[in-house]
Amino acid sequence: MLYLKISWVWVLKMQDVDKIFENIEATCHINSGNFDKHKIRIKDKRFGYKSIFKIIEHLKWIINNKLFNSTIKIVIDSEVIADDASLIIFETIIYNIIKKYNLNISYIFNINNKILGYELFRLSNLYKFNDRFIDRQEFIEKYEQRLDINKNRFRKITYNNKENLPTNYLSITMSEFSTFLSAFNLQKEYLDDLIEVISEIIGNAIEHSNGDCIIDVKVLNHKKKDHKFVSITSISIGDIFIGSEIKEFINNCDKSCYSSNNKIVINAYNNQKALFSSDYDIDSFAMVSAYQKYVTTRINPGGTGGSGLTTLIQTLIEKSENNHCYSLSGNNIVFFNKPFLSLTKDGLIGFNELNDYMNNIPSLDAVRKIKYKFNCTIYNLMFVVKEMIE
Amino acid sequence: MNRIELKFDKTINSLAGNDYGYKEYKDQVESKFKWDEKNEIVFPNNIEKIAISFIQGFARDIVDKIDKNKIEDYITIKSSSEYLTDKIISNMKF
Repeated sequence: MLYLKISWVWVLKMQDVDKIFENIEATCHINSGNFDKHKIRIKDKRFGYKSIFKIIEHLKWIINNKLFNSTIKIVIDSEVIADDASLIIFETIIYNIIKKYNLNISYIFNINNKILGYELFRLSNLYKFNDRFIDRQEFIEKYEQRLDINKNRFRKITYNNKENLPTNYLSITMSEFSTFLSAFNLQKEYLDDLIEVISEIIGNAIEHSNGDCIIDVKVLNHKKKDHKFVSITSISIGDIFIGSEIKEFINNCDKSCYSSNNKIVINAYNNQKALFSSDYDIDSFAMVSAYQKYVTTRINPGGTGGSGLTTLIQTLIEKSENNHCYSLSGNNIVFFNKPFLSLTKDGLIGFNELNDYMNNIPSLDAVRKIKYKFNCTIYNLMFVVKEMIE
Repeated sequence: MNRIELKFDKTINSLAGNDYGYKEYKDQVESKFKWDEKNEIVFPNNIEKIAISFIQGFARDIVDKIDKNKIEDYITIKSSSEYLTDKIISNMKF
């Protein structure tokens, strides 16, 4: 089979990438008095957001203290990698450190090479420079490559230009994914839903955030015979989060320019606000509200709100044999997990045992806070699906 | 029956995006649509996949004017597959 290899260099908005360091508290994580050499060791069992924050905390401490001649080595002693989003965020950190700050940095992943997470790592841009000197220019060019397709991976950077919305830009992207994923022996209906969910995520990212979007799809063989592992990750760096516009709507005294469909948000807000806490606040509520049918920040209503995407994810989860899906935006995470993933006949989703958006707050198993208001919106969808038997 | 044949870039096989769907409705359908008879909207054969966002934008003005459950009284869809045709109608009603 002939595989397409495309290189197209794209320059990301530099200030956007640096935003991932904002809101993180600079903290020194080394005990040594030698501040020329910094070894940041990650011992978390799973390399995930907790590990990512520890790395950024220390790097920010180095930057704040202007220790620009330091040598930095990041040692990942985790057993497993939580997901592809963690790898792409880590790659973004390294990219920012070498491009903006020109620091001498290296990393080593001491992870089990028998697990699926290792395959994600092997296919990532990080693999080439693992435990090696990082060729600055090559790393930067690889990160900024607008379109990168090979046998098992499709990575694209979509530029956040609102002028693209009424054009066939998204249709072209969807067609590209269609071509890539069609090479795998997935069931047609599942394939169609996968392709659609990717295009909807990118569309949401362009419409509702202010950062460029990295979309990365990997398809791998699964240890179970005739099964594939599909990982879809989108990352938009920026300080507009899922639900930001809904929060504005709630706080805006003049609601005349909004859709009357949004009344349910105000009703639910009035019912839920007495239950707000440090674990579930107005930002969490606004993010959850973005997944309700007909809820829209469009002045001219008619969109599906977030329920179109929720329905698609629900369908994919129901058709898969195993899955782990979530969206992260700011300091909120929404997990798309059974039994909380079900729309009512009115298209509402409560993410709680009663599936009641109007009167009850979500389960903490479905909607959680993370340590920092991270300037990112991330979708991470992982599925194990059966291949089509011919 | 009033037949409206849509045209899209021949290099793409998918349609996506709410605003793009709305623009294509305005450009290719609005002035030709007849409210007093049935309209056959024909998607070209190169279009194999359509995202819900496109259909929602495409049908925005239509579902503003008529009951979603009566869409089939006004519209027949023709596309590259029966599966896609059913999806377009069900997404219009979503």
